[in-house]
Amino acid sequence: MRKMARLAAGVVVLTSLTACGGGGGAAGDSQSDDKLVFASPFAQGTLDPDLLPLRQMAMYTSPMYDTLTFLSADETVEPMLATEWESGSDDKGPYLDLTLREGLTFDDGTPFTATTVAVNIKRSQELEGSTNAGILAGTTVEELDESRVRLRNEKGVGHLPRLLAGAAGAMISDKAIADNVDLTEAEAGIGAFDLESVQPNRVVYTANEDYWDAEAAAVDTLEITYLADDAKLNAVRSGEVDITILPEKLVSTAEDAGYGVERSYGAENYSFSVNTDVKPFDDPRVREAMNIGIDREAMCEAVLDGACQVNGQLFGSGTQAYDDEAGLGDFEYDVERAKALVKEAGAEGATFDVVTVAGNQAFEQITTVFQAQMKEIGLEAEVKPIAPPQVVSRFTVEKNAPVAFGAIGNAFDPSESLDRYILPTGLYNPGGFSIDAINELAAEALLETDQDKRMALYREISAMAPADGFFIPLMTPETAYVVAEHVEGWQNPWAPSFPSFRGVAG
Amino acid sequence: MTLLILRQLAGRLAVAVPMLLAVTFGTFLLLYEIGDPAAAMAGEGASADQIEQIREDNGLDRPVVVQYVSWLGNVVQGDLGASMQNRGDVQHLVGQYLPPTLLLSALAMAIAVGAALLAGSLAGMRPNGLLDKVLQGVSLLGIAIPNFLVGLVLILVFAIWWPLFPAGGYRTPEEVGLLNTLNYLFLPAVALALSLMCLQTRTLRASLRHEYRMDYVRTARMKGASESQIFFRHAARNAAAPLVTVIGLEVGVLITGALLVEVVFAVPGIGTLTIESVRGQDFPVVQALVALFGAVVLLANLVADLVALWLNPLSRSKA
Repeated sequence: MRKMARLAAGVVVLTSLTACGGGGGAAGDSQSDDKLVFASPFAQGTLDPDLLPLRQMAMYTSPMYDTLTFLSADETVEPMLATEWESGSDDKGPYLDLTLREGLTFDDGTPFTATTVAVNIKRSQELEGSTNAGILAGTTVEELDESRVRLRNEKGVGHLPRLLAGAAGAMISDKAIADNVDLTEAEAGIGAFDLESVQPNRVVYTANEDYWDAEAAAVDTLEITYLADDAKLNAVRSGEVDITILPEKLVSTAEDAGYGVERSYGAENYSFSVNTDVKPFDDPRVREAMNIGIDREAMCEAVLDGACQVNGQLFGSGTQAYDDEAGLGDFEYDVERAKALVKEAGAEGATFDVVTVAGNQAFEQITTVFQAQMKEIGLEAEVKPIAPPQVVSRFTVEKNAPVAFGAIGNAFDPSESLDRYILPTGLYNPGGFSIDAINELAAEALLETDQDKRMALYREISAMAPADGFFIPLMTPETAYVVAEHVEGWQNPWAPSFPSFRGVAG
Repeated sequence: MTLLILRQLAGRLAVAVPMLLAVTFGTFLLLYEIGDPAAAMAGEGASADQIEQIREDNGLDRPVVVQYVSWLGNVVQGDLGASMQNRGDVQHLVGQYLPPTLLLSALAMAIAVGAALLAGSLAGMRPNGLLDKVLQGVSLLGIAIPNFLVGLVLILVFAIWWPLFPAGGYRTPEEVGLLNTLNYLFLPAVALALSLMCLQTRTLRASLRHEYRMDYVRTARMKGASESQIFFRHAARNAAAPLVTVIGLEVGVLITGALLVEVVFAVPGIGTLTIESVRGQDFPVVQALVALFGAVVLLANLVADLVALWLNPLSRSKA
């Protein structure tokens, strides 16, 4: 018993000490200092740019891996490791010449040269499980000299300047690639920050003093940490984070805690994909009924507290690829006509599963409202919230769920979303639905190398794509960035998943 | 005594091993029922052909029982498989997430046991007194309130209104020192400890009350032993046996409690990993965690039984 008494005394002493532990990390981390803390809506998984299971995870790799180009907040393609680029065409087809930044070396002493680009593209294409293999398929590299490369793709190179601003354009040291270094928790890039430590749900970086752009790292330490919404709110209320994203209903609490709120629309677009091979969705009347049977305004108000813009197009309303003039298009809410179309198609009472990602509150709520609205027009939808890979599996492989709901737009180039959702070979077009006019415009956009002209083509596609109802756009969410008062240099990114911390001071 | 312990150990293991096998096989079946592991492994952008290729490459087209036996064989050899989401081996992943949970659990248990020893002893020595009644009420309340709710209240009071502790997160001892690491874990540990402490307090109180009614206590008093001698030399030791059993049983509560508390406080521990892995259908990780939880609970109960056996003179005399 004496031992137990001593143990009890020890506990009391320990807890007292703990309570007096100096408050290390208690409120105050976000005071203006040489540290910037960003609370992310997702964890890092791996730090290998070629193995990111979700493209959004590039947020964790971008501080330490410069990409060949850089996509600025207003979607302008800017120089990064490539200082300039020029496109052309010869007898072998279209090409893009990149001039590389000279005099750079990786931390391991390897110089950054044309060979670096060649081995990186090869790695992205050939590494087992590479998540960049698809978007770089068909792209070849020729080393013109030490600091110039020529990229070729027979389908066109118009998309490459934007694509190479994403994880596909991240440059890893030649030596690290040759040595087959495991980059899951290590870093081998040229970046404004070096990797300091990796912990579950938290990555810490320190400023790279030898970086080519002295102003890029405006703080000594950058920390990106994953927090669920409730934990994020707690961290905001106690002042422990500098920047984060919060759902609209939590924003006022952040404002009360002295944070500024900057709202913007991005590239994301909430939408349904429909398998046109499955009855009754092979009938265009049913698809049209679904489109006009959705009360988007009510859904936006009910689920996102009005923090969204109803959308009748392929691309999110915050991107250059969105056509402002086309707006909602032909998808004005008309429940009576929708009912009539369902009846006319003989689809009354048809039942079907709608799959969406479990755990995403907004997704689950939107699909639940959708279920109720479909019931009103005579269709019996059943919502199945499941894990992300299962959404793909049930919708595209097993094909037992004809409707899938999710967010599109987390892509550096519109061609990625188009390939994935609209073109007949797209993963999210399991029915192989094909619209000739879109296919032609998509091919033209790949060949076009003037980015302004490309965007004009995508705007045209954006308005056309949903017309046949196999892709049903709903709304673009408004993102509320919660930013501490002392933060300087922050710019809302072109998509919420791809913030840039260059020049941001905490 | 040694023979009795060995017999107890053998008996427990004879139950524990089949139980672990049943739990892990049940989980294996459940996970397959929930979804397709090949699709989960392939990731969000995989084509149907890629998914089929992965199914074939990883032997996921074999019967479930065959796959389970294969998994079991690998586990016996120390190979828990590879995570589908994090692209690393499961051992490494569990090793990353385990330290915060171990520290949190140890701190929570230390707080609970320390406070329960104090409160239970005070209440048990003076049953039906004012302090006893207050402690009884408090401990009932402590058991009734879910620990995540306690956690939210603690955050509000001690991290936001009165910012003594961080609202969440975790820093490693290597990064900030052990004291500051414990500072991060203090509020979650208190949230986790409350219900454990309350049950322990009630158990110790009841047990002490029982011991104080025994003849040997009366005899000791008649022989002129002081109250502190009676408490420390006689009653407390005997009363501790049920407490130890309860502590053993509470290891299971500690694990389930950690699942929620870690999420509320954003502690990147095994609880967080479990929830993330279930959500992402990371089959190998979930399977390994279930086996780990099962083994820990069974081991804790076994240790508690053995300690109780050692503490209880009646058991020893039987031996």
